[in-house]
Amino acid sequence: MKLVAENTHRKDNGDDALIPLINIVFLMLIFFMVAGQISKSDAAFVSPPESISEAYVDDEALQILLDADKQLWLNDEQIALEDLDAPLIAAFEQVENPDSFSLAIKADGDVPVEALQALMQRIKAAGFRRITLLTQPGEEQP
Amino acid sequence: MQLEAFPGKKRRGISLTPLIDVVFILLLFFMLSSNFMHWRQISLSSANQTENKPDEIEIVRVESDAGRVTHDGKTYQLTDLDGLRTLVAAAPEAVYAVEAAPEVKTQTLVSLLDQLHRAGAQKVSMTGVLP
Repeated sequence: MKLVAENTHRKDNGDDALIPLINIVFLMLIFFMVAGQISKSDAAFVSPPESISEAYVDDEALQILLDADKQLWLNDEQIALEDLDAPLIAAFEQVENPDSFSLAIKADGDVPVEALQALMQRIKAAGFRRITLLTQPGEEQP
Repeated sequence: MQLEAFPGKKRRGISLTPLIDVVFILLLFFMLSSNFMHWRQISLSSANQTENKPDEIEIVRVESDAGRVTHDGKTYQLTDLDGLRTLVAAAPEAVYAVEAAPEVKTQTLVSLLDQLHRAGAQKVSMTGVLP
């Protein structure tokens, strides 16, 4: 006596075992597509200071990177502090409405304040006034 | 005469393997290129702070990365929010100008800014340390 009929279930495809895997992979794919945002990666790794500031970043701002080794980066190229004026002024002249031109400093949280001071003095000396420091929201402190 | 494209091969459903290949590649792409950092900003501009001459400027100086803060000869701790509250409560309308000792990290300075805001200071200025 046979208990299992041979032809009642479909012929085994071999791929059927993969369907749970595909489910998970699709789920992850959708998560990363929706939750992440694709953006150009920075020239240098910067771990910004944490702050409670809630002001959103001005995407139009020209970003200057200051990494943990006190190296400056502008437009993905390393630049010396003394050479900063010319490219900043060139960028300012190319922008459409100069009134809203602003600079964003993306400084590492471990950078000593003096390095930031020197950079700020240089930028101010070049004549720019709208400067922001980029931060990221940290864990809530009690 | 009967023509058969794939003689001997029985038609099956669509094979899932190529689909998985593509989905895996997409997944890898999105995993590696997506960015979960949420950026915020602090304004360092001094232009909008020229309204009136402030009545008083209280200088708060951060001395070390360990969080020692001095103001008017007294020492506070950065984590001691109650102590900072009493500091701010004495003059809530004053402009608190933040200063930093040499070799203090940017993170510590930003933390002091945050703590002064938490303690109730309305105007906190970085222009002392960042001209």
